[in-house]
Amino acid sequence: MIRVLAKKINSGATFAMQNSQYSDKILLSDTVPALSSHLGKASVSNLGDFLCQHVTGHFETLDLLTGTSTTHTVDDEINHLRGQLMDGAGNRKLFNDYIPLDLILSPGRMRSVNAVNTYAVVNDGAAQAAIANAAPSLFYPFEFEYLFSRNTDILFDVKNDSRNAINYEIVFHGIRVLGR
Amino acid sequence: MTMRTVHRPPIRTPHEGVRIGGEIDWKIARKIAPYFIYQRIIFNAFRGFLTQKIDYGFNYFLRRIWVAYESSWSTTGTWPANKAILPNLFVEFFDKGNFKARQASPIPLDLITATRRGSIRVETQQNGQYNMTANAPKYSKFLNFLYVNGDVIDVEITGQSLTNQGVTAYQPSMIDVMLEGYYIPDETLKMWKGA
Repeated sequence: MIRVLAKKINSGATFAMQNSQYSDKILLSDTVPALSSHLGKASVSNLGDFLCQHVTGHFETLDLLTGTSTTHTVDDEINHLRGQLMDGAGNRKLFNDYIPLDLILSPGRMRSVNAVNTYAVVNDGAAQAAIANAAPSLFYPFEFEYLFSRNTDILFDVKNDSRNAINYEIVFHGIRVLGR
Repeated sequence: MTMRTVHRPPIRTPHEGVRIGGEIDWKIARKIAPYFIYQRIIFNAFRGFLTQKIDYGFNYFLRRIWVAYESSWSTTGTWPANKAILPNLFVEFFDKGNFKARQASPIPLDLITATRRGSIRVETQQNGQYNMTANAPKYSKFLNFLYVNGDVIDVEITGQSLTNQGVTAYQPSMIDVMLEGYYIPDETLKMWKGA
């Protein structure tokens, strides 16, 4: 950044480059059903190739708590998701195994509005759950450099070991390159 | 007899594919792919291993290591990690091919990566005793180790037990280890040169 500020910017050359490659982001958002797996998908459009540089993401940590009178969806703060990332072009696997999401995603766990113990203590017979703690507030985008071709899909096969459906979202940060 | 010098092209790291403020070098960027290696180490006898064979045709550029461990142990006592005490663990990296260690002595794990409670829950015993509170990656020192094709990555983690409530000595019984790295084609091989 300092280098940029210390130099006179050649606006003509910068515009010319920006017209062919610029910073872009692709969102992958999905819900994984309870005790099941689901293939999440985000498309790299026909606009151009996408050079991914970083990933960030968050996910819920929900589970079911069976009480005397009813069943509660609670935030147990435990990661229930693990995923395998694939490049849709040739189904190339980018992980050797299903990796727990909290090992690769920052900020990671998020407090969910879908949990009853986000607002109040659950006290239903033997079923008890304290108010969920705040989510981690640190933010370190994870380095992930990979070139996705245009028209391909970014595939993320995620398994959920919770008895509740869980949402997650991942953003791929990178550079879109046009005209190739 | 003199040794023949074999010319090898320089091995390019993933970051050479991108020039900030300049154009992307497609020749490099197209060939390099991230490949994350994950293994859950069942940690007994104070020693655990992660081994991974490098696919033929690729070198592996190990960028960083990420580690998480379980946050509670059993009903008979809470493992100290629950109280945010760091497990006393050490890590060593080896090139299996030539039995070469990449450090002079085992390195305290928490001095090269932000060890933390976390990772996925498993219930190997009743009542979810291996509850792993979700946490987020924080920071990890860049290692930038290059493993040549056909080699085997060998990461060895050794642990010093922590005394829990004066009853029994415990070590974390499970550790999640992930290697963040990239597969880089070994361009000296014929398989990358086409027909």
